[in-house]
Amino acid sequence: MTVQGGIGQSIKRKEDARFIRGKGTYVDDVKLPGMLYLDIVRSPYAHAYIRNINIEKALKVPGVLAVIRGKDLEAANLAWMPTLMSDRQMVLPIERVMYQAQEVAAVVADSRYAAADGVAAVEVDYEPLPVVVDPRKALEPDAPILRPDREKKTNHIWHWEVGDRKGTEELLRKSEVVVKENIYIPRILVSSIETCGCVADLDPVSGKLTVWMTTQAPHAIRTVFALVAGLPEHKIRIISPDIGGGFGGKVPVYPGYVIAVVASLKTGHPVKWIEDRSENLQADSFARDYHITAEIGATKDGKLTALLVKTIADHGYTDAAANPSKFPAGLFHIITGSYPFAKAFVEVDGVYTNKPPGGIAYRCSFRVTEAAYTIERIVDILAQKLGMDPAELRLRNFIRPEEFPFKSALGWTYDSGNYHGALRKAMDMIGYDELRKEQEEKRKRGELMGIGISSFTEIVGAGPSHTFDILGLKMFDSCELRIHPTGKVIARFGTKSQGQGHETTYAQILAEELGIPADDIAVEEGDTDTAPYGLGTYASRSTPTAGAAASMAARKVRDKARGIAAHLLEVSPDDLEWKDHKFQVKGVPGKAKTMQEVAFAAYTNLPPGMEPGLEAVSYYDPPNMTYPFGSYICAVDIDKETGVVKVRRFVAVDDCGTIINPMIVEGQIHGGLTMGFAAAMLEEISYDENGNAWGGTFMDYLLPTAVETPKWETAKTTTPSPHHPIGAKGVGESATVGAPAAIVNAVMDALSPYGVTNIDIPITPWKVWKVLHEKGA
Amino acid sequence: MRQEGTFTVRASQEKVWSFFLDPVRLASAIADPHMIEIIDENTFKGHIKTGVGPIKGTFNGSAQIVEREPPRRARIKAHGAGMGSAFDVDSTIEMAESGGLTTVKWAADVVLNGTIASMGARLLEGTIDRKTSEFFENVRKKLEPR
Repeated sequence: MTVQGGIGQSIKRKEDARFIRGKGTYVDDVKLPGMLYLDIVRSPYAHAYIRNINIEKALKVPGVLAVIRGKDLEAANLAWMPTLMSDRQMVLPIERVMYQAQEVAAVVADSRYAAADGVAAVEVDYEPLPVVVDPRKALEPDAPILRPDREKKTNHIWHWEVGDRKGTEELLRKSEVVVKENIYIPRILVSSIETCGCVADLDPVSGKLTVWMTTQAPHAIRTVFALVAGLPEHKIRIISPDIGGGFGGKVPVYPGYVIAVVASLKTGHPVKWIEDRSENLQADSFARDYHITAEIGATKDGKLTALLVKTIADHGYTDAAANPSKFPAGLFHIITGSYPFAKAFVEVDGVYTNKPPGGIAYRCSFRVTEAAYTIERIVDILAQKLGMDPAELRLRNFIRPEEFPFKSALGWTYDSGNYHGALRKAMDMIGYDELRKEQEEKRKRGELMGIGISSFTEIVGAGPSHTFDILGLKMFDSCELRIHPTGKVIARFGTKSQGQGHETTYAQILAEELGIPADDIAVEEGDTDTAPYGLGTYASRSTPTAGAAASMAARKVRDKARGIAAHLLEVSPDDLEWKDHKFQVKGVPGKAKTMQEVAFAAYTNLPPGMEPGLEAVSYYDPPNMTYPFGSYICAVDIDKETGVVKVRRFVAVDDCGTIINPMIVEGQIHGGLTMGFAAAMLEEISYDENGNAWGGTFMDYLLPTAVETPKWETAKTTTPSPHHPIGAKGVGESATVGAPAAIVNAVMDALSPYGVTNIDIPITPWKVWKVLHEKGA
Repeated sequence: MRQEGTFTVRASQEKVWSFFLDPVRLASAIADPHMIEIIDENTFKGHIKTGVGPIKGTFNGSAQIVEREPPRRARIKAHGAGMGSAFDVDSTIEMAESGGLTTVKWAADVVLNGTIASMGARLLEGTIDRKTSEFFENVRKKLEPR
């Protein structure tokens, strides 16, 4: 017997009723009486002294009420704020700007227009300084020191390493075949439909600060505000309303949020700040910017031996990466991927440059895309060198299903997997052998066709409290569940949906656990005054943590409900079993009570001595991470004359464990594949020698539309997580992580007759044409 | 970014020199709306309404004649800002007359920063080429006998 909206049902998303009608409430929809508007003066220079900021003319602009500068913040000790990675970041500068489009001053006015006019009237006198754009140049001895405020007078921020360096180097020396490749993963931005912004309202009477803001982690933000600004935490309320896409870009605390709070304090009015698109593209936290050198060893017959990876990580002017505290390079050490290397070693060096800070997880669990891309690329390059089919090389090396839980060479314990199953399914779907035959014939005719595979393994669901924290806050998550007398439910969570469909997915978990239709379950998130404490939504952690908390809270409710049901049925609780979403007297199927009946009794007819009510809270500390995986295969055709790559087919087989709503999962995969395609083919923020970001508009920073996007063919295998209450692993990011390598591998496969092993993403027609031209094609 | 070119006009070197070194007359060849203010014989400032592609607005700036070898060579430096952008120009002009024609060899090192460099990069070269040729065409109109 199924319950409406139980696990495995493709019910329509509850939240879509308002989204498709344009009835969502986003931050910019919040309008308060007396609300003022904030706009930001930004630096034209990537590196300069500020000699003077003249605000006289700006203050004369009709409607302008205040101009805020770094020195105004200094008095409140707010000119700088700490980053998550123990560095510090300017809210507004006192003496120097460090990247183009950095915040320099802010104008508060009674209309958005007046604020913009005020910004244009602020006169800043700069003295340009030498600019460092390339992190490798930043490490040269004569490079200007970008952060003289730090004790260490170098642009090198930190060195991080994991694994057995000596053993790996030795094994590589002994390996019969070794390949090495330099791979650059450029700067990109998440480009959510909704930019960042907030409405800050500091009530001058009660002293309570309410901030509606675009944040993926409202509780963590509340605590950070309390610690940094010294406000009592019970007088801070963060509300994260509907969010139009986060993808990691709405984890950081941007200066604009803090300035808006100060502006509200200064003016006694609510203050709204909303970024425009160009500000978002030029100044928001970036993703990636990893310069990677990967070396892989194998035997002649294709048995993988060792992996050595060195990386220079460009962090911009401050290390404001959004990582769990113990991991300056995120979870990059998932880089051994789906393979059992005997030895592996990874090192990363963080470097300052005159670029915006960031290092956010662009729809991946902290540098997992970088890792998956690198391993899946280098395995393909090895296959090319060995003259072996890349599918064969993978199948020969994958961790076998019976080896789980599997301890990787770099220390992770993978929960479950069936990598062979996923790849074989993808090969069947795309008709791998026929495609190879077709390719051979095409090559004879001089046509360029390529087939690329990516068999990625992710690490998501951060995370177990022994390893994972942010600023000391353990990375658990929570569910607070209350059942009303008529059997309807409200459930609140510490996470925050940005489009993932939590209102539906969580309701489905609860429906399954409680036997109450999903339609009768209301899910709320994002208001720190009402929701239980949690660390928010990113890193595919919601289902692994808060989803598990939903199950656990429901099971606590069930424990109490069993006593009430026994009372109603006049039997002992031990005589009852939870079956078919009801409490049934064992062996007497007709004698049963539903959760709705129990709920009514919880308020009207309790067993003697039992407290009324039916509710529970769970704070779930996951025992391990989850390890979703998949195999993607892509077939491309390349036009020799123009270098244009056309993705002909793309098959994605994903395994995210137990699936709660197949339609939502498919939607996540379609969206993720499209973002992965964008990263592989289109997206890049590059800089000129003066540090000006190229790509300040969507005319230069390219995103795929429906026209460019390939048709996705999706399928699944199901290997439940053994440690998650319902076996779910999380799927929000798999496709973004897995897709780029499949596409690039296909392009390189097409170009392999010319001895080409790598083209850095994005694979533009110009780059392909240039390589073909150079190789005399 | 370095821009350079030559421009030949049917006028005496003397005449061309005095035109190029007179900021008010020189500025009269600029098509975009502008205002110029003389500070001293080598320094002037002003503002201009111009733009690249979608980025249009008022830019405030100042310029200084830093080297002057009449009637042959001059070097002018300019700095300006506006619309979240800043520009610095270091330019030289060299003149020679032959057979009633004066040839002006010009070169300019242009450093652009901010919005205009970031958002207008793709459109920049085309715009500069167009505005430069428009400017010299106007100079010619003002110098050549009708």
